[in-house]
Amino acid sequence: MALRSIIRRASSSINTNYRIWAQEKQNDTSQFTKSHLLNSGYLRDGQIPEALQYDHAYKLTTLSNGVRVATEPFDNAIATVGVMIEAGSRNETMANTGIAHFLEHLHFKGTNKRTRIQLESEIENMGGNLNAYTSRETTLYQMQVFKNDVSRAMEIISDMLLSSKYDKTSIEIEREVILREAQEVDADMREMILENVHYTAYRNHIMGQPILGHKTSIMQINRDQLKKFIYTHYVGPRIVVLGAGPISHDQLVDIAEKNFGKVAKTTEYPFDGEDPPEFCGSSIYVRNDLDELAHMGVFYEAPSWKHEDYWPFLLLQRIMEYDPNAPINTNYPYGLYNYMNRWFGDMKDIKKQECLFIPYRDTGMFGHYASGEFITSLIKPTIDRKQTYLEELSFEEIQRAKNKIYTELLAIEAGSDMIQTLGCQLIYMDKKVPKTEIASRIAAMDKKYLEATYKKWFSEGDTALAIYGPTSTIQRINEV
Amino acid sequence: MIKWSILKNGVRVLTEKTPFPTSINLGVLLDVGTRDETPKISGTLHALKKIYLRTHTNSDEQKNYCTVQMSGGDFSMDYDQEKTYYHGTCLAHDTYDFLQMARDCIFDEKNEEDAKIAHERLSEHWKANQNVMPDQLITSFMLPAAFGENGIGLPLDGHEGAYPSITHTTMNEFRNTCISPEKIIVAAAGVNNHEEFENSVKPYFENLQAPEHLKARIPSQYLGGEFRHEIQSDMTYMSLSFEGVSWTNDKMPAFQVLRTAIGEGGGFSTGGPGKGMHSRAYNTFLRKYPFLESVKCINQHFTDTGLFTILISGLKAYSGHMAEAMVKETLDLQRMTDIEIARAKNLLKNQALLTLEKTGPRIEDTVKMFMTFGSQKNYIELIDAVTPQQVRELASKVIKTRPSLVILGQGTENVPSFDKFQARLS
Repeated sequence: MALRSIIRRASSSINTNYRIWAQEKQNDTSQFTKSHLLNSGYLRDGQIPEALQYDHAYKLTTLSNGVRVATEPFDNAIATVGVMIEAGSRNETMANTGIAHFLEHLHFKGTNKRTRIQLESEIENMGGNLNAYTSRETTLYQMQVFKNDVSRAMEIISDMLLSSKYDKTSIEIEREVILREAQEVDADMREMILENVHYTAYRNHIMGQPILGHKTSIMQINRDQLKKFIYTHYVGPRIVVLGAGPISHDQLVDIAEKNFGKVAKTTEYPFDGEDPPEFCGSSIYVRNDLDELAHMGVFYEAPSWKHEDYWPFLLLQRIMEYDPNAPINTNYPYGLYNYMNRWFGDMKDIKKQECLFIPYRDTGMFGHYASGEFITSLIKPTIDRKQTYLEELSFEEIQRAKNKIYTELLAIEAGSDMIQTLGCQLIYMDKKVPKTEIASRIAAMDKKYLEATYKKWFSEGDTALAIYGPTSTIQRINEV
Repeated sequence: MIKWSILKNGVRVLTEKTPFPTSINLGVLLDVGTRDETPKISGTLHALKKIYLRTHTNSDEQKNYCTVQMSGGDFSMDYDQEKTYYHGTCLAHDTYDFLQMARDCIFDEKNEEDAKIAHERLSEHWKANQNVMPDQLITSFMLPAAFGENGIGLPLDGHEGAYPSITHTTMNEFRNTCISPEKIIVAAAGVNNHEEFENSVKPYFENLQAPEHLKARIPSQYLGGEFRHEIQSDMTYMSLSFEGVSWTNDKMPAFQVLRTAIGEGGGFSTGGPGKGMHSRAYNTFLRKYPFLESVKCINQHFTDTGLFTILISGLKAYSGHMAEAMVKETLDLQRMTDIEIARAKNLLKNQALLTLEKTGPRIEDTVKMFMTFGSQKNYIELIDAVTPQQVRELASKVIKTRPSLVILGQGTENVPSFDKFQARLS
């Protein structure tokens, strides 16, 4: 921790002011100029691309019961509205794992006002598109509709969330569907490894349990449990109503007031799973000698969404990440400017490699997923690699990763991407973080700062390891 | 806001000033595709794609890859039967580098080394694709069954085993005889000033000359007919196609609506509303016939023709029943209700508008429209103008034309003959 005081805080000179785009650069004739770049062709530390100096206007209103309403209006033919709830599989107990995801399914199955068929045809007939996602900490329902259908879309979402029937027949049908879905997730090796990494890293916490739940508890979930989960977690301060596109903020506030204004502000039940999980160094391996490929996940503890080191980890992940379009193959010149990828690429057995940063509210994990033929012999080098990685961290690699983040930020264009970004920022950071601010934070980071951050987190600390496949050298894993 | 102009050699330059600042989304569209190959040189574009970053004049593959990586963006090449599209994303200050790279990637002469590397990568491609899933395999038979093994019927990937005969000379000749400046549009979205972009394009694209002998595209000819193929599988795969229409045909929007009304479905989950869960694929095909595993309607448009296809798969023991279901439901398309058509129109508009939300797909759409129509069409208005009557008339007309039939899997002998199929439908 003593190290921390001598690190130059990258956040000390962050420009959080952004400009609202107003077509001001109408006749700019030097958009492609390189005059502002260093001789090496890169942006100076602290300098962000011109296009990232702007963001959409943004408005936030909090209703009396704590529900937040946020809009990012822009001109478009399609409007995106959504409701993000700060509740997910981490708010379950061992007795009801999978209930958050179960609820998501049942919300599509009919309300007091609409039967399932009516609900489906109403949305399909109006040209709407409804999606929902359940993660460990949040649940998102979103609809993309023609611009005149905004209030109808919000009414449908609130009807689903607050007046669903959870009737017995639907519960039984969905139980089967979810069990089949769980089988599919298990068959996806990458998903399975990530679930196993969570299990082993958060052994003493509900965070370690799979999002879809355990078969035994899925078999037992009933209507009362479902309703209790709603009463407990769907309270005002944990609900964010989101809109992007051709939506007036005042209109959305009115609609939200009408539909979510009566949601309770507090609950009589205590929230489950709110205690911070402890990252536990451990390993889990599943032996299957019949499978040709082995899969592994090697993960370390990393900052949470709320930690100031969240930002440098965004950059560290891009520095190490694998170019998903590039097959690992020595015929391709793809290793250059990405030493981690080249290092993995030189290992002939590796077929796939991916670097992941998975932050949560009060914890996070960072590491690699890889698959290949003789992967067990790679585990120790991969872990050792963690210590030596920084020696090769070059100026070019940092620049490449910064540019990657800039283009990713500029690619947040669709309403659905915008409300997902905004929803997470409001839930985890209590404010919208403009693209300009994110870019400025990234731009301010230099090698020294990244090195210090990296050392702070990785010079010691535990490893969570998950392995699957023909692990014939299983003894060696124990030695690790 | 779209602006366009023509360079003095005929290359068109098109820009879109996006409503909000974004990356530069660059695209170079060439009016050339696999239909311009011949059976002898089929697979040339596939070979070119495998080495699309290999240049020689100003850079090499490694340098190009680094240019893309360091930019933080991407750059790739796609092609289909009629068009080849080099496209990428970068920050504004990398625009010149990307233009230079795009030009070199398209026009640099390929050499023997390039051909050797292309062969290595094609060999890997075919090794990795040895076990093509039957549902992919059947889509590759649809066009040859309808148009013969020439022009549009040529495979996108070429034939396995034929690639060694594609040399660097083949690739260079193909480019030199099929591409002329009039067949090129250089486009970018995220551009503030059209003139600045035009001036940036000029040094790279204005000195291109038209080839002495430009190969004219051979008009397509619909043949129809049937193709049966036994493969090891528990399932039977069946596709029924009819000649469709070109992009510029008045009936194009009605075909799109009909396709959306049939939709596609399969698997145990229907997804959420908005993906066509009340389309005919779910509401009639899969509901009425439990032996069906999946249903998909495919609608392809080209510059002078098109293909309209219904593709089903089901348990092999029921292959005879599958044929019966296919005939019955195809005949029933003439009785598409107003509600179904209104729903399909809204769904189609929603899908189109969602695609156009992102700058990359939007500029691709615009530049392809310019190549096809010479101007930008409002696709949404075209869909709006389609009436239920038009869709029903279209359906009853098209199913009486000569079909093409592909049957894959086991139990194909239980499927009635082509003539019987045709007799039932007309």
